[in-house]
Amino acid sequence: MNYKPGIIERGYNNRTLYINLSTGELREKPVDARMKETFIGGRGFDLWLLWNSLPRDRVIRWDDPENELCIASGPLGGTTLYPGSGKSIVVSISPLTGSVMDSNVGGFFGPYLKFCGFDAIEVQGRAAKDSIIVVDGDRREVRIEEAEGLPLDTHLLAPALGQRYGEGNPRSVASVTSGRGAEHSLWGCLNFSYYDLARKSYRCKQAGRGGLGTVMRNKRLRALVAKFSEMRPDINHPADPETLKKGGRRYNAQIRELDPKQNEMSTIGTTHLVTIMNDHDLLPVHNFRYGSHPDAPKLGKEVFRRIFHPGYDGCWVGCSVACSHTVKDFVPRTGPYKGERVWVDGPEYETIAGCGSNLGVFDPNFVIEMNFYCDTYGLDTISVGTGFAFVMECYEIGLIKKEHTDGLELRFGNADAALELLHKVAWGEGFGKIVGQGVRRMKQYFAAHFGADPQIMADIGMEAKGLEFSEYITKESLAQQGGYGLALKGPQHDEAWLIFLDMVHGYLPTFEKKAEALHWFPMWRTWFGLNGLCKLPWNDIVPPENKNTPEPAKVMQHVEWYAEYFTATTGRKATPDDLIKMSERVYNFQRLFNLRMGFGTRKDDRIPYRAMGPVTEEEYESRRDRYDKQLVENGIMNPEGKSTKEKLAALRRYREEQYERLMDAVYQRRGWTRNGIPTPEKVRELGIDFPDVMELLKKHL
Amino acid sequence: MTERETSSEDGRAEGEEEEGGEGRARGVVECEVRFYGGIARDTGTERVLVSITGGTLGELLTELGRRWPVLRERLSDPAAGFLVFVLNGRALEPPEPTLRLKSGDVLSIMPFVAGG
Repeated sequence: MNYKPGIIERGYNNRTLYINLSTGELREKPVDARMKETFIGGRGFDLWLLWNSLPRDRVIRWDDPENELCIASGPLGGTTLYPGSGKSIVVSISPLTGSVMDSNVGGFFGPYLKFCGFDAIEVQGRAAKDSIIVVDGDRREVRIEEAEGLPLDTHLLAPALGQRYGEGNPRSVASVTSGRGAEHSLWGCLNFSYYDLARKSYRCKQAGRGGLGTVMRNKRLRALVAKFSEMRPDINHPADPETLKKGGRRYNAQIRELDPKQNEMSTIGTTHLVTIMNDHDLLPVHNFRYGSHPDAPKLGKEVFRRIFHPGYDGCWVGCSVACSHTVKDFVPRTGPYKGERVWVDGPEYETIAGCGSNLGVFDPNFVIEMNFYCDTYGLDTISVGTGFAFVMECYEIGLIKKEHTDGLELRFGNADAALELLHKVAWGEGFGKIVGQGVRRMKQYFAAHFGADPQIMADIGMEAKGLEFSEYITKESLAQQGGYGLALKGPQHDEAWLIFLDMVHGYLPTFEKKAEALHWFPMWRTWFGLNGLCKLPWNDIVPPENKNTPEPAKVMQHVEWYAEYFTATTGRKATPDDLIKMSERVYNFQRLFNLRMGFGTRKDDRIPYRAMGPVTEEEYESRRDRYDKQLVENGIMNPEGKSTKEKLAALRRYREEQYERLMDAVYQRRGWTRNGIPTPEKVRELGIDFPDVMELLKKHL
Repeated sequence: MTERETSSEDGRAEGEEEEGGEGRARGVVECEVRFYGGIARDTGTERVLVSITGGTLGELLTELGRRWPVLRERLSDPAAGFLVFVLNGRALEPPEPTLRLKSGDVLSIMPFVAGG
């Protein structure tokens, strides 16, 4: 398909691209004013496109050809003058949850797609053969090609695509790929590439959560390629370039001055969190049983400071946070690339905690090897970490045995067994094929085929809505339990990270305060995904005077800067409250989308007890003073003379009741019913009362 | 990394103070101080045991400033600036220099932590 060149105006092309791999159909779709007003862009556009493209007469499965892979940047995405402005947001029906999944990722594809002329791409159908979609902005051409003669694993595929389409300019190519792991498991991630000019190599960032890579490979899509050679700083054509320029300079200057004094993101990324979490009993150890381990500093920032290759590590042009670090010349000791020298992107905190401490392995080289293979196989490091931790605990407590695991001794700390299992998952072999179905399905399988106790697995299998938990211990933070359990897509921390506000700062002592936080923060964090932005510049670097503002956790100076940024780009006047309202529309729409998929009510918002408190007597005893004190302070029981079993049961009743009360408070604050459904009044107030939405609501209220 | 240092000015070994109980009578307290973020890089250590005569937060911060002059300005007014002071797992808001510390207290000094 050839298309007419467009000019981006105020952040929008005002059209999207639709591709059907079953029929070969390629066409443009217009973006009208109401779509922009209501859904803004990014995740909002993705959701709206998917909503309108799914069949009305039935609920589809993730592997039906009608499912789509939607990718968009946002009106502010692709700006090079402002930090953290190159994100792509992916939406699809997830193989893990069966409902809507969203994932926010760096790399150049989203911005390049926009520069090529499209605000979003939606890919429907399934190709007969492995295919590549090429959006060539230089030639104004979209085409579907057969993927012949290309490698499958990402660390080889991304450079091969650069070679094939770059025409001597490797930076002009950005790709989205997955890998063999996505073909054989439900944990497939998407790798978004970008060319690192200084290191002369392709790097990748991952849209990890929810099996989006699995959807891609199910469509027999090998790669999406955006080709664009003429990038310019003013390409987004903002409404007010001077204000934008001034604001970007101010923000970058602040980050450059303060980041080295604060979290050092530009040097060590998110690895700083490892020791902080460990010291506050929040680092997952042995499948979230415990929050700390004496060996955790072996995975800490000082170790990775020495390991990371020095240099600029922004995943989009002009980002001063630049937290996407890399390891050069790593030599894997296992698998198909054993003995070769490879680049590894990461690891970040989640990978270190998931594939390190949570498995009881405190060896940075093991974590880097897990990171490398997960990426190149196209597997989500978080789901792999949490999934493997569950398997190891099942093995340790005798729910599964060596005869089930192909002879692997899957005990905590057994690095060799974990790596072997990873290769089995990726290649779809034996026990690996079962594990790669995710924790929810493993629980069912282990019970049905191995006779494992379903109740214990329900308590220790760290998934909710079918998605594996990301890597924080939430037992002592009711607010963060809600941050996970009430997240639309499942337990991922990108909606609300409230642990420190709750536990350390003590900002959320009441249900009302927790509910307010579980309204404001998810709404605010959603906004980044509507606009093609990264959230890290907002609160990983804070202004010196922030501490003495009325609500320091919100970092309002930055929120105000984002309102200015939005106005300067789109020309649409916005205050901080307006930004929250923008998100509230999309957030509620996504909740309703869940409902459409048979999914978004109170029962789906519950979490396993391991996320709320100690499951086993051993866990209770390991923090006995803390729990005994809580029994007294909360008037639950006098622990004197009581057995651990009795205390455990009493604490559990109390905490489960607290979580139910939290759900009530949050639903009320969000304008939802006690069953967690947005009320018709709320839906009308937000302007998302489309006829099919109201019809859907009528069926459920 | 853990350093063990004492600020006793009379040259008496730490153990002697504790055994005799004399130090306690004079208000000597021993706290653990943990550094995170850029401040850990500036001190070259992530945790240190510090004994101070007196025992207030202000005196502890003064002592830290004495050991690491690069911190002096940042610690001179704990209520200002971006550093967060966490005592035994709870943030001090505001961090009052007159707050009395006791032996065994753990003071963490960190930037605002926002998760991933």
